[in-house]
Amino acid sequence: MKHLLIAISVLFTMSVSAQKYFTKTGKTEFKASVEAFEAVEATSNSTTAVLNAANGDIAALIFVKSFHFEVALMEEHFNENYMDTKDHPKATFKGKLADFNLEKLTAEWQEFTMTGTLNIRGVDKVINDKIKLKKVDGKIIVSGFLIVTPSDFKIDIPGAVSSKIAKEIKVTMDYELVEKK
Amino acid sequence: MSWSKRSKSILIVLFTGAIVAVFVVTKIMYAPHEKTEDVEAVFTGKASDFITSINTDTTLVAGITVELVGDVTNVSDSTAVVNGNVFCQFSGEKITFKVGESVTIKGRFIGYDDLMEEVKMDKCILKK
Repeated sequence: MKHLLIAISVLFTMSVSAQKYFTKTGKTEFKASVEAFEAVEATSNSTTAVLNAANGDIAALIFVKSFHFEVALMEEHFNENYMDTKDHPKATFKGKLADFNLEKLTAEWQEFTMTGTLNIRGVDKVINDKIKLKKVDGKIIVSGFLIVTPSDFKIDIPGAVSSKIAKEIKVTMDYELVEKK
Repeated sequence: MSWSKRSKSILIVLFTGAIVAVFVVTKIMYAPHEKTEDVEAVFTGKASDFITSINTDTTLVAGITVELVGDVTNVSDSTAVVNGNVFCQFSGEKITFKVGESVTIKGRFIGYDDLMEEVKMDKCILKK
């Protein structure tokens, strides 16, 4: 009986530790374009995201340098003048999906409330948004959208370009998480 | 009204100057992204040495190009892991090497990923 209990607890521990899903190549995109002006948008295909399927904890990390702009000079200005990438190379998120249950995840999109803290340029912002998840071929597909403003993260936009950069920045996330083995 | 020869010359010079100025400004504003093969590597050496150096050497900041030697421990379509803790994203070329091979990879160091506990590189190319 004692051995059986030990075996069950070992198996349980193994299944819990195996319930992490992750990606290192998640796609995060932002758009700060204003109509009639040059597009201000960039994509990072290097987002790391980890979901603990046992309790819904979610963490993500983006290296700001990994955002790719069409125009190289715009990318340089983004890193040097606005994001201070030298001092703040990472943007991070730590949070939780409310009522997450891996067993109930299907191939149909399901909406979850995601709460947590987004940190950009060393400034924290509390996030409380909806995010969609589904499970396809053993992978968890995450699709999210949120709006942030430069002032949320104390990013100064000089007057000369303020009309060319949107006041609200649309951020989309597309991650395909695989089970960590 | 007829234009004097001098006025015509000034106009031609101004017009040519304006065209050159527009061309130069456009060339600077829309300069293409640097290619990894054209950028000089700030660090060249073993992947294991690079990881120990990033904690002490302040010149090894995010965005620099590095050339690292190590053994491949994982491969997918467009990514590879070297020495178990250097993650490389390749752009463009298809990965032809296999797990266990010793490789030299040139790429852009974008930072240390503390969620995965590994160095992350993008714009990678295979040197040999």
